[in-house]
Formats: sequence, C-alpha cells, structure tokens
Amino acid sequence: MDQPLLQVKELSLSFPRQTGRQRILDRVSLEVRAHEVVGLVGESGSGKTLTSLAIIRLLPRSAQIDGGTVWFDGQDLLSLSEGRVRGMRGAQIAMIFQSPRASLNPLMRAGDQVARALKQHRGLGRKEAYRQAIELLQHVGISDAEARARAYPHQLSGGMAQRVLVAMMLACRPRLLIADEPTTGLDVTIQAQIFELIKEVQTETGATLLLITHDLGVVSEMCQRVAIMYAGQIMEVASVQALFSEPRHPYTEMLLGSVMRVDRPVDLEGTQPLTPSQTTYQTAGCRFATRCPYVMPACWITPPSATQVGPDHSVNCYRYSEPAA
Amino acid sequence: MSEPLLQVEGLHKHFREGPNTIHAVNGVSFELYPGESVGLVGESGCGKTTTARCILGLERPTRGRILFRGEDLGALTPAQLRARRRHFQMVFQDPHESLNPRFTVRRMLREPLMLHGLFRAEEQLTQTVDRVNLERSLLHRFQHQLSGGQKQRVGVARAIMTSPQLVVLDEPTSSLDMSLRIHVLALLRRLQHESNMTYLFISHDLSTVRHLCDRVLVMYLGQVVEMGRTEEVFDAPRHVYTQALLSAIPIPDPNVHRNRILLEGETPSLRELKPGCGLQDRCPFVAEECRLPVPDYDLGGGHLVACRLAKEAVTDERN
Repeated sequence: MDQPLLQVKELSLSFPRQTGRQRILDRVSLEVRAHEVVGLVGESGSGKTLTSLAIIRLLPRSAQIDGGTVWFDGQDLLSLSEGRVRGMRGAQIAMIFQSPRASLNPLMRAGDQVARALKQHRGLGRKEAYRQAIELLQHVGISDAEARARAYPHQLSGGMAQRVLVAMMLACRPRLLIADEPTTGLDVTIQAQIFELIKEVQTETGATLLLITHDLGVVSEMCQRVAIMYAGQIMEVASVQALFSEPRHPYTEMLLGSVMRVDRPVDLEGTQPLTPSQTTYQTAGCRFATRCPYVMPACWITPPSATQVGPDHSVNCYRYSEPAA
Repeated sequence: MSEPLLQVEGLHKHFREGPNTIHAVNGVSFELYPGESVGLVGESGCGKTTTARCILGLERPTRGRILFRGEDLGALTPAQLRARRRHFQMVFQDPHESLNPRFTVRRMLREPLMLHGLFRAEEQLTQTVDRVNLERSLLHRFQHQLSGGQKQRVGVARAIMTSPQLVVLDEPTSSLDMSLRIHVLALLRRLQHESNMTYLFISHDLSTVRHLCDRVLVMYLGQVVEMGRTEEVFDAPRHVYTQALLSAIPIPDPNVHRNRILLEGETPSLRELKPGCGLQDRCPFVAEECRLPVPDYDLGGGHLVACRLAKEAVTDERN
C-alpha cells in the first residue's frame, strides 16, 4: 500500500504544571492517506486541536514534545528547522481555524490578503495576483467579489470570512488541509454552505483533509475515516461506516449513545456526562478507565495499544487484546 | 383548552442605529399554555432573543402587547412589574457571563429569594441544589471554581428558586459538550414535570428542541414563519425555510441520505425590510406572489405556515 501522506506516530506532549510536567497528549498515532478526508473527533479537552497544532508546528512555547514523530511526505516535521517549516506552512500544509474572523489580518483588506498568498506561494506579480484573488473569491461563492475584496475582515460576516480563508487556501494549493471546527459560531444553513464548498474544493483539487470536529453528524457527511480521541489518547480509528454500525470502544459506544439526532429522538434518561472532570489523570493507563463500565485491572497500568478488529478498524482497548504480561 | 399563561400579540421591536432602524421583531403573535414546553428556533439575528427579552420586560415593545395571566405587562408600573418577576425567570446562554464572579453559589441562589421576600430557611437552598444534581459543598464555591456543566446548573437553580411559572431558557446548552448537553436536557425536563413549569426554550440547535419541546415556533427575519407540534414540524415541515434549516443539519448516520435544500446567500439586513416573504431572495421556489405579504395558512392542529406552498396543503385537505 502507498505510504500515508501524514503519519503521526506515538506523539506525546506535556505542559509544565506547578507539580512537575503534565502529559496532555499520550502516544497519539494517526494516519492520513493522500486524497482522503479523515475526521478527528472528541469532546472539549480531548487534545484534538493540540494534535493539529503539533502537526503544523504552531504549539504554544510552553508545550514540550516528549516523544513521537510526525512524518509528512517522507520527512519528520518535528525535526525540521523553523525556517523549513515556515516554507511548508501554507504551501504544503494549511490550517483553517475555529474563528474565521480572528484568522484574518484585521488591518488588511480581504482581497489583498488573498493576493498576498498568491504572491508568496505562486510568485505572481502584484496586479496579476489581485486579479486572480478576485477570481478565487468568486470561485468560493462570494457574490459581488470585487466590492467584497475591498472589505476589511470586521465588515465581513462569519460565513464570508470563512469563504475568504478557503480562497486563500485555494491560492496556496496545499497538499494537506487541516480544518479545525471550521463552522463553529456559524448558523446551520451557512455551515451547510461552507461544508458543501469544502467538499467541492476537496474533490476538485484532490487535497487531503483532516477535519477536526465534535459533531458526529459532520463526520458522517464529510469523512471517509475517523479517529476518536478522549483525554489526549486515541480510542478508536475506523471507517465512517464501521464506526457508526459497529463501534467497538466503550467510549465510542457511549459517545454515539449521547448524540441527539434531529430526525429521530433518543431517550434522554440514563445518559451520563463523559468528559473527564479534571486533567490530572490518575492513571498511567487508559484515561477512560475512570468512566468505563468494563474496566479491568490492566487498564490502570499501561494504555492498550491499537488492535486491528477489521479492515481499516483499530481499537485501543483491552477488551480486544490481551494485556501484555 | 385551559387559559393561556402568556399571550404575545402583534409584537414589534425596532431599534434605532444612527439614521437606520433595525427591525428586530416584526409582528410576532403566539400563546403559551401552562405546563408546556415551546421551542423558539431560528438563526442568529432572527429576533428570538429580542422576543424573549420583551416577554421578560427587559425591553419595551415598539408595538404590540404581552399578557401574562391576562395582565398586560406594558400597562404595569415598574414596581408592579417587579412584583410579577418572581413568576417569570430566565436562564442565560453563557453561565460564565451571567453568574456574579464575586458571589458564592449560596449567595447567588439566596439573592432572588431575598429580593422577593421569600427567604425563610437555609433548606430552600439545599433542596434546590439537590434538585439540580449539584453537591451541597458547592454552595461555598465561586463561579470560577465550577465546571461549565456545574455553572449552567447553578443558572438553572437560580431561575427556579422563586418557583416561577414561566422559565425562558436562552440557549442553555449551547456551551456544553454533547454528553453533558443531553444530561442537562434530561434535568430540565424532570424539573419541569416536577413543578409544572412552562418553558420557552430559545435555541438554534434543532436537535435539542426536538428532544425537549412539545411545540416549536420557527422564526426568520423577525417573524414566525411556521409553528406547530414538534413532531409535525420536524417530520413534515411546510415552510421552505424550515425545510432548509432541517436539511442543513448533518445526521450522524452514514446510511441516511437526504435531499438538502441549500439557501442562497445570507440573511438579509434587518435595516430595510421588503414587503412579502423574508426568504424571497434566497428561496429556490420563489414566485411572484412571494413579493406580497404572505398570510398564515392554518393546516389544523395549531400548525400555521406563512408560505405560499402550504396553501395547496390547505385546499387538499378541504377537498
């Protein structure tokens, strides 16, 4: 099989706390193949955003990588110099952030920002870059693009700002796009428009997409494969079909049970909050152990490694593998 | 049917913004009956929060009346209104912003009782804390020492302290994680059944509305475009806007495939309203008559729809 475009291997990350260092990401492993749309799903505090920031090397200064590698196209991103990484950001790997308006430069007109990306990444001249920027803005569905190009970010609605970011991304033609909750704060009808646009762009350019979200509905519509994270650990990786039809990890099962569907109401009783109450995990093993109905002694000692339970389906749980002696 | 608890009649609320007028709410009428839970849904800027603020007397309506138990709230003196306030309470969207950072939980819960002269004994506080599934030890905490879910439960506890008849909930679960969200909804429903409260539940999240509400009102551009029983509106939406809104919500099931109605563009400005349907510039089924004021078509059973396409449904049923 082909080498995956992105391969995160056993990535661990910690932050300093008053009492020593605290490990936030614990041996996170994740693969994204070329032209694939992969979802990274978890509740708040599960470490999905930190994982993506580690990939694109935009971690806060206090974060320390304790181990692991991030292979992208045959090189380890974690060992590259800052200069090399800067050259790759945008051109090779681009990221769309949660708040579109905050991601744009507030002092620069929308059109100029897109044009600047074109100048830097495609080496176009000023006039040509601006002309193509307008075209791109039209392409992402901005009506009256010439007028909108003269607007500053605060004059744009959230949906418009997100379209401008998608246009900038198109300007760079990255091989890997990381979208971190790209529709947070947008209305559902606008969310639907943005996802249609991202899907279109993805099919058109063949870009690879890592989509970070907490919304399993979005995963079901957008992704081919999905990784479930909990408290900084990967719990399960599966194709979207398999995840919804045969979830294996106890956390995945409970998460799916807590999803409220608009087309089919579920029983509200009997569900319980799943998020960890604190981030000082008492266990060196599986972090879901404190809430898991099937917990066994081994779960507290070392976290289970990924076990294949089907094609494109792996679970990190001792119910499916023998604990190492 | 029993007497309505709340009647909203032809409510308009306009705001001045420099030389412009913002038409936030434009002719909203509905009734709430005791013990029911009604969802007020719509996207940002549709006027749902302004409607709620008018109901609670936090804004003065530009036109229209609000009657609580048959009494026109606009005709009351400030002192009279204050005395009525214990009967209608609100749970705010962001518990972090709406809880006083310098008060302990105990003081936050005692405050409404003190204001209305209802405080008798400490048990009133501990009982309510038990009812919302909080630990009693939290009474001595400040809001920054609470988790998001705990804060929102304090917000709920504070609202039900004075045993209100009407509780307006403004997006109470939107800041919570999904597993916590369902938990808070179950709590809200239990509380409602225990004390026979009436809920007006404001939300842009239609799945939570489906799980909590008996009836639903869909707002767009300051008007109610569709209202009816929750299952009826969700399973057979008649207004194109409701259909688009419902079809925009991703379903967490790869085996469900739906036809999505994509609305073009964005919500128009509230500064200049065109006559006719608010959706006329975004609707894929727009016709000439949509430029004229649209009447509400009554499909029976309290299902009202302001869309020309519902007209055929009315004539079908009569034949």
